[in-house]
Amino acid sequence: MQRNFRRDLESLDGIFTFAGEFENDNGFDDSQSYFLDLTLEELFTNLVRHAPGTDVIEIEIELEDDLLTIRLTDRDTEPFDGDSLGDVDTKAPLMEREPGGLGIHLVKKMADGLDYDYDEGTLVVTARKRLEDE
Amino acid sequence: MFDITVAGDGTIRLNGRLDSNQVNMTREILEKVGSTTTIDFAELRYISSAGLGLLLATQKRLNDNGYKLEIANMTPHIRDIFTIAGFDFIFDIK
Repeated sequence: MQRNFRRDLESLDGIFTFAGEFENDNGFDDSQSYFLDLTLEELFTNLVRHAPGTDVIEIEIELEDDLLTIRLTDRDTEPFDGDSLGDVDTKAPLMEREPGGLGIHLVKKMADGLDYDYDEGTLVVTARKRLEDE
Repeated sequence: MFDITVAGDGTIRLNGRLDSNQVNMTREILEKVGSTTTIDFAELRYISSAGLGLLLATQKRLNDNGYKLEIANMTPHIRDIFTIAGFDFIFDIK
């Protein structure tokens, strides 16, 4: 499934509806649905906040042989890598903790792979997860 | 859908999905918290980094004055998120 969404946090409701259709069509359980929703929210909001692309971000979700692939494509933008937000020290004491990078940290820990590819102004962010591990 | 209510004993109840579009409503409530407070997660179905960041900021502010947030009735999925985020070390989870 593929759909375009306006580069605006207000698009989130539509993105969750889009994800819900995919989850229902593919019989996702609560854990799988949580992963898909969280990954879409974290990756989309990061592009909205950190990448200066066109008005539209394309979202594609695929499930093939238990491999879930979530792909966000942003055009006419600058290079961006979620790793640039830095690692999150989850063992740090409270007063040393900062919220920056937490969303990407969650996706990286929950997914089996997270890649940022940039070529001639187009940024493609791809998260993959094998659902058979659930 | 998301809703936040404050009970008579001061307990804050989160209901539904706390995503990036719901944090402002939640911030308005949490900014008024000035002492140790329980947040009831029994009806919270989803939380992303936006909500976690807000909880973190509130916990740090309260900690400055010797207070804290206590989280109650967390569902297994959200417990997993707290563990991955390392929040199980910085919040009292009841």
